[in-house]
Amino acid sequence: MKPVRPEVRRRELGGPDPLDRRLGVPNPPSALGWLVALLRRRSALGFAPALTPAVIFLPLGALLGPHGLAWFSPRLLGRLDLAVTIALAVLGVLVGIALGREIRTAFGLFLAASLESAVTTAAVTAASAFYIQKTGMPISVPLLAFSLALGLCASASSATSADPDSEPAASVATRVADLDDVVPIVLAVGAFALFAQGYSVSTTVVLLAPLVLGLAVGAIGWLVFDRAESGPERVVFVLGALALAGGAAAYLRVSPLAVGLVAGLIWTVAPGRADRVVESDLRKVQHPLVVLLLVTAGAHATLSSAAWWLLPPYLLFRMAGKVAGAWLSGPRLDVRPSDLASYLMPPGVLAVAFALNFRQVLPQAVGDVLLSTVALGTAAFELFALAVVPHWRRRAVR
Amino acid sequence: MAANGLNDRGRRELGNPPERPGRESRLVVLVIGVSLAVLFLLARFRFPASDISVVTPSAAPLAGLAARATFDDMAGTMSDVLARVSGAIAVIEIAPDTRAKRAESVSAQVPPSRWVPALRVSEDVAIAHVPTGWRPISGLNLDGPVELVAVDAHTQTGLVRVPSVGAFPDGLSGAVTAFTGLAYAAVVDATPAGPSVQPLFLGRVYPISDTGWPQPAYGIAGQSAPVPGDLVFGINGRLIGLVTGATDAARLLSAEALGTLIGQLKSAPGGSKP
Repeated sequence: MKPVRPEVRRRELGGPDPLDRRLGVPNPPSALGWLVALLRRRSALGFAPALTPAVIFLPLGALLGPHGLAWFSPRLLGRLDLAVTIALAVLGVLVGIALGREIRTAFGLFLAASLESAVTTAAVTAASAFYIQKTGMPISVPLLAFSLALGLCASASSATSADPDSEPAASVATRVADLDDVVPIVLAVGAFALFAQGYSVSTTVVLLAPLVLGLAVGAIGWLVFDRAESGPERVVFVLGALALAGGAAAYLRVSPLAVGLVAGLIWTVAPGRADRVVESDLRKVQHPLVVLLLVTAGAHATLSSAAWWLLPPYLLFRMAGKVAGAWLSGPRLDVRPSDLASYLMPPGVLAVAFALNFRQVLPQAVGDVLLSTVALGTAAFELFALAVVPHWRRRAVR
Repeated sequence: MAANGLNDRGRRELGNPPERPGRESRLVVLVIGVSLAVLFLLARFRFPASDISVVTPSAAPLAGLAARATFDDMAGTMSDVLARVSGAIAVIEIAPDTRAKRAESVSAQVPPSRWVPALRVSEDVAIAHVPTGWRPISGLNLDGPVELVAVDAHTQTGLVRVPSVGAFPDGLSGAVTAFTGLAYAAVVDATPAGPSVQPLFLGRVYPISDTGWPQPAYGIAGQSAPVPGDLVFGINGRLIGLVTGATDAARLLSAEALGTLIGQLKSAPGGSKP
């Protein structure tokens, strides 16, 4: 396995933060350790992998949302939808940049990561479809499309419990977590097409628009980023391009993640330093956007009986999918499958991003159920990764 | 390097003995087996209740930013209410029961059929305004016949069996418990194209303690009162009641009264309540 430059190990959360490096990776946390980490370290804001942001901000959003203190009213959440869409486009750009950098040097890694995410998607999709059909749960959208949406949300991984510098397995897992989001984003375009059958927007538009929009935004950014005469002007260009990507996707009701993915890929593979410009400027807004996504998702979540009903198959088959996917792809990566699976357990913010994305095109009641299930599952897996995986790995090491 | 997560090949290169080969495979089999076993076990249960209603897609994210006039707000509110409640409404066609009138004069004028909204109260039963001597003859976009299960002649309200749909929300759940009037409401009526809605300011309402009417029932003041057959919802989509009774003595039957009436009709002998 070739060594990878530190800046390539981007991850959608944390990133190469100098302070994180200085603090190092904490020991497996005790309850007291969590509190100390929460109070003393920047992990509370998601800058270190000690306490993941999903564990903090999802419950915080639920507390502030309409079903809690109601500080976030439905009207305010409606207004935030556009910001959420732009945040999704930003995440897509980051995934696209990671793909553009790795695809040339580590195509095998990309294939292995795609295999892992495809297995997880298939496992959760099949299990959810079977479960919903057998239990007679009423879903007012096509069963396959809804199950596929759940499967795609489940496929996301962030490897937030892994410090890429700690050991080779963690480094590989981090890169797999970066790359395994590509296939779900592409498949999500297909899911959007299935959902779009009831709208006035044609399926062809839903399938092709992300590519066309991504190419257009990528071309615009590539042309203007390098020509900025000052730093602030460059920031305006970057944010304008991202607003264009998110706004156009929202207008056409297509996936902003896919639009961002294509744009990020263009900026990376095209000559010039557009990708570094974008990455540098996005670093300033990355963490606030993550917080926005998680708090919004928490506020939207409704702990309905339907959400709890869907949670067991989601949890079980996401874990089964990750273990089976790691078993299939691990040998190609020179890493022990159980270690890879344990590192890939935390879904991270991308699972929530997928759910928010689907919620925008689903009927409200069904979208809320999907989002609530994924939010509960994300929080459960993040806690599982924090509390169980370190012990699991220590036992495996012995 | 044994602690760094390398696989057997990597460990062999470093001179360490490989791990037991079946460990990883056993882990995969165990996790998948347990997951499947739990899935099949859980799949034996039925989903207890419906809380996913059939609604239209939510508004586009950019729609909230566009400047809109006040009337647009009202239109949006009505559209939203209709989207929320339409899953709980079946549109049925009712007509005079000509079988009962065969003995009467042939020249008697038979009124035309009309469409009324029926509120689903269980998987295949709905409640609707059914005037005396009328019966349901068909349903709009329903895969099967509709039939009168029971009718209360006094309130002219009947239970109608309708084909079930994928989602079967209980139209009475979350209803307004104490309606005091002087509020805007969404009045849902039925058309051959489906349920429709219009805003209406309900003025003063007054309780009617008429014998034979389940309570609470209300009279509605004003000339623009809804007509028998209409379903009245709050602008938040919660049911206020069903307008029923004779045209010249229509009442607003509250959700609580509808619940009482449904119980009476289900237990009434012969499917009719005197």
